[in-house]
Amino acid sequence: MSLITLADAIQAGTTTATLATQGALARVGAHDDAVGAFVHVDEAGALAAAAAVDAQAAAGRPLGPLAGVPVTIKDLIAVAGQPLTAGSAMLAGYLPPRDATVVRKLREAGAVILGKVSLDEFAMGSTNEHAAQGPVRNPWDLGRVPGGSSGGSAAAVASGFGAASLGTDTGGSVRLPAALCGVVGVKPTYGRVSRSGVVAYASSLDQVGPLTQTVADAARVLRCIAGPCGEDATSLDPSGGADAEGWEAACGRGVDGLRVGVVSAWLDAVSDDVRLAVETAAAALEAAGATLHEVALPLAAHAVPAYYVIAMSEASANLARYDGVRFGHRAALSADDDLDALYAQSRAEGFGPEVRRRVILGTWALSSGYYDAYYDRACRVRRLVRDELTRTLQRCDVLLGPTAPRCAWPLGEALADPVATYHMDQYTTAANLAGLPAVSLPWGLGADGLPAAVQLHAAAFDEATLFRAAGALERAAPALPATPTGLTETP
Amino acid sequence: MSQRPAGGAAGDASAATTVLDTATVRRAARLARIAVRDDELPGLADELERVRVFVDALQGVDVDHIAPLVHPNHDAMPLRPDRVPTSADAGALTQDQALANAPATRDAHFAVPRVVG
Repeated sequence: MSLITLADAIQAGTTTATLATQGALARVGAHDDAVGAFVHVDEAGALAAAAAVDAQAAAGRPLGPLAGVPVTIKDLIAVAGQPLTAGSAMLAGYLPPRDATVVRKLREAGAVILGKVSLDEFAMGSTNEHAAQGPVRNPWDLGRVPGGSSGGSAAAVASGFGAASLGTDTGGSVRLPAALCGVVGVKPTYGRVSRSGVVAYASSLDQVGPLTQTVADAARVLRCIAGPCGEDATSLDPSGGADAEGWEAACGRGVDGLRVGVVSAWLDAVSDDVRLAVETAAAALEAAGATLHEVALPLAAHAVPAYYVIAMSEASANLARYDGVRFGHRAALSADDDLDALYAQSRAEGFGPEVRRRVILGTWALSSGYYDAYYDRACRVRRLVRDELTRTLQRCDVLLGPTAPRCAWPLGEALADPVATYHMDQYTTAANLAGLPAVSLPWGLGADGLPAAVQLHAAAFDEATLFRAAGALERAAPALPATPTGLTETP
Repeated sequence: MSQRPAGGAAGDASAATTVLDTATVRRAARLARIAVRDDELPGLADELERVRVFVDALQGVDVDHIAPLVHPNHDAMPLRPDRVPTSADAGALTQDQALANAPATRDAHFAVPRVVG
């Protein structure tokens, strides 16, 4: 059942928040041993929140737009009273003192928080295999990855463990797992959503975004979490809140006259089923009244290396806070160890291999003698990529392309060759470098019976047009089976 | 260490030469305050050099008259007002909350190894 259908049913009194929450918890109990999405289930807290919504309804008081809807939260985002690990041994046992802004807003809208879901350590990864708690499995095929870094979020929504999840997207970490798990994932415009209370990876790229079963569900969740916040100086809303009110309606508006750019070069290196998905989606938009325009984005080809240099450099600065002093893992020291040994040993023990690689490389890219050739050069390429996308989005209203080069791949491949996995981000990082909104949505099943997906980009702060095109595509998309194939095989 | 291929990095010569050798990685790890054992260094240097070769494709892009972009929406990093929050502010932490996740505390302070002898 979609989030909006469930919220409407609770509003109408045909079901209750308690029943919805019990149903979601029962699915978690039945299937999460196989999927591994959760790192913490807050059954008591969820049932109490649901009971509060039901009491509110019984008293005839107005309910919020997410009242009684069970949701999950990527374990990179602070929820008061629940552990916050960032998928890392570094933060084992850490308890955040309060909610992130996005979590506070979800609660104010009436959402019921089921618990925290898995991710690649500190959001660094594309497969959810770099997680201290172990890998998440794709609900469509338990031998395959769910994508990352918000792999727990995507697997949870696909499995019916709640109607929505909040993930974070630094280089594709909402959109890639959404694509591999057959759900909708939105990366909002940079600044649209507050990052306060979200563990920082690369602060000029990070954005929180919703994963849901439908496009309109994502529009509703985004409306609830969007808006400037005094605790994040980069958050803003040029429309003063007016935009968000129109997003749900935009999903149903149709695409008559919409100019759709199709990035032909982005189809050169994708699997046959992904290419077919994008071509069919383009034809569907044209049939619905949009005009198609072939666009070339030669500079976007440099987005992935620029992204990795910038993200690693920002990570090396952001993760300097894990020093074994104020919070996080502290190494056992001998009597003659000094403060420097405390830092170095605590960080060596607390960080996993991918985080260690990125922090050391980022430190190197910022160091004397290499800064100009790597970090500074990557920031100049970033401007080229952003300006090219901005120019293109003056000629086109949206850009259509693939989200990932292929459908979900087997567990273990990425661990064997980390650099090859960086290529999985080749169609997602440009939106982060440029700060643009983008959405991944399912497009039926590919050749192996795994979900295929397409991606749309729109101009900065034009989520309305993004939702308009995504809603039209969703209506034309081949339907997915109601239950993911991996779950039906679970005894 | 194994010979690295040129990696198609726009014909850039540096891709064919090892930049991240064990000495450079040891120095970067020291700057990052991450302890790396001597026996881990060759393998780590090899992994990092492969990533460097991958990102070295940037060396072939003409950026001569292009200014760096460090933030997507602002020319300068936006700043909040320079004001000390008080306990009345939303989200302000009490001393107990601030210390609650510390691995070691003493007399309401974070405790660390002796810094001065």
